[in-house]
Amino acid sequence: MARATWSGFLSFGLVSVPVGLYSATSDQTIHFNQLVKNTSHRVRYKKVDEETGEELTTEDIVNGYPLGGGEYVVVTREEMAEAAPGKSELIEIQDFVDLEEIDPIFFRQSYYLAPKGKGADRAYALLLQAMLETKKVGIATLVLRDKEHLVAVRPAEKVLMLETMFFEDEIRNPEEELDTLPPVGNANARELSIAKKLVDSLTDAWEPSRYKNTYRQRVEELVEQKRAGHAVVHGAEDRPKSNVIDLMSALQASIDRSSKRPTRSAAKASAPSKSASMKVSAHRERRGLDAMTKADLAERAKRLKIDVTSKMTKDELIRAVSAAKKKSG
Amino acid sequence: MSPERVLTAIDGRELSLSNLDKVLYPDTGFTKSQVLDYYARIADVMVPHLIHRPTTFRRYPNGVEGMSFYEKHAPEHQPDWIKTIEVPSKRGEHEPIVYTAVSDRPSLLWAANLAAIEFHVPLWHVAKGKSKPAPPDYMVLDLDPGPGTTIAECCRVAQWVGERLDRGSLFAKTSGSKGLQLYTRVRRTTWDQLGERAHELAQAIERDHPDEVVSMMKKTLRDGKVLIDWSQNNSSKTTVAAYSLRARPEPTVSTPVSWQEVDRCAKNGNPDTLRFEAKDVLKRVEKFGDLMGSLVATKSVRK
Repeated sequence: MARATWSGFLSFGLVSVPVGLYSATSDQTIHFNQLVKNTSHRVRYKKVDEETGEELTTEDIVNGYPLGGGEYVVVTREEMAEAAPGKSELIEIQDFVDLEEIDPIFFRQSYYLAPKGKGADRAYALLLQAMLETKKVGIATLVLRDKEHLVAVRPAEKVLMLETMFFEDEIRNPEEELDTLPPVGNANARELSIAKKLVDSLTDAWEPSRYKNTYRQRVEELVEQKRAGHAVVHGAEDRPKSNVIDLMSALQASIDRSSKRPTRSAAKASAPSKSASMKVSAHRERRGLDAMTKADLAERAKRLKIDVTSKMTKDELIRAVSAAKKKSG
Repeated sequence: MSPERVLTAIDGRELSLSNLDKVLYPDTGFTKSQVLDYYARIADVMVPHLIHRPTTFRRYPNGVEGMSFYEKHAPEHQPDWIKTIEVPSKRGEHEPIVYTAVSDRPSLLWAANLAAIEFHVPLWHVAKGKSKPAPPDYMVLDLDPGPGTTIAECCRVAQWVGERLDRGSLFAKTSGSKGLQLYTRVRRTTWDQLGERAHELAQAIERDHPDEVVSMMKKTLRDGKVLIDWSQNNSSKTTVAAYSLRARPEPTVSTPVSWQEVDRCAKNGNPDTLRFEAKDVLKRVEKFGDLMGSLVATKSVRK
């Protein structure tokens, strides 16, 4: 398990749960080091005196709050530390609100909250279930890395999540920032209905796996090719016409590839033992049965020589069919 | 590993195919390339059943056990060589609906590449150069076996329908699922008249064979009986097209069958004799051609 970013207590009312905070996302950006072109020496940043060019150490540097016109109020490190919020060990939920009420613009970063230490599990599970059932999100403040954060504690399926949030005065007002916004609400009714239909026709379930960071993939490929000593190849988006192959041969090639793979039923028959993969396929099977209509299930049950009565519920049919399959498989 | 996308050519059109190795029928391991291969080979007999008809695709992007959706509107990203049919709304209350028209093998394969496993069409078409839908072309009776019955009982009912209508102009196909569908060409009729005629026919057969046939949709009446679903004779209804694959555990096909086969199945009572998968259908077409060919070849559908 990764190291906790923060440890402390999550508290609401009389309940207090020891928890750890773990980052829920990982940055997959590719990082480069800067090198000098011809020598491949590393590039370093240095802090220098703008007037003299002399290099400075941390001790030489103070913070100045600009007043304009070259005037500053100087604030020392010690003074900053005094103003900083004390290191807090408590996430104290002040209010519960509906998640839908919070505009996504407020969310900064997602963390997982995990129970820590003896006896934490029960209280954690209790809070998670209560929040799941009431569909509420807890609002609290938290000091993280010397900075006070507004946070939302929200229940996910199996875990409590903590979202750090922006304060209201950190959110920009679009009408102040953007001066080209048209008025909304008086679209032509016919055009609106066409636009809505277009939206409907393109509407699909949210499947995050469908979207890939193709830029990163290309950069990784580029690095890999260079590492392997190959010349860099620029892959064009549209392949030249010479790459067009006959459709029927493309299909045949795919069919040949697939015929080498065992089908689900063949894989089951040849499996030597009740391995994990069998469990997976049984699960898939069950999921498949769930998707069938009751009438289809009844038909399948009949094929498996199960006595079907019209009184059987869909669930009963699914159980009967999977049991019969297990026996025969 | 299979390439994610492969650029292919067929009949002078370029098609970028995706995820060819993906299994769409997990029970049998039938892959997307096999679905496309079937449609490529069946296109010659299937396209005449789709041409000039606004086609609804039933797409299964994650295979037949996954979620599916009906695609009625022609997708925005459709290549410009694929024909569309614009259908004005009935009372002009909204813009015309733009449907995809499957008019040749490449457009059939383009659709199948979107994991469109099932193709559904209405009983009417929009003739070339016309902007309004033609009156109904066919009457369809969808014979749906109730609990305890199979396609064999449907075949018996088909025989009774054949006694009332002329067998020579009555065509049967399996639904590819459980039932049997009967088609006959109609001329110069309105939707109201067509619906009435189908309803009366269903009721007449129900009167003659009250223990075997039901003409009302109500589920509780259907135990041990075959429903003659006459309600499909409506301009807003679509029926699965001949030669369309079905999203069943196995890749079964809505297959045109001969009267001889209907009679035999009615007699031997074995539903499996009228259950055809993609590979069977390709063999049948090689042997018999399109058993429903003369239904669509009639001149009123101008090509």
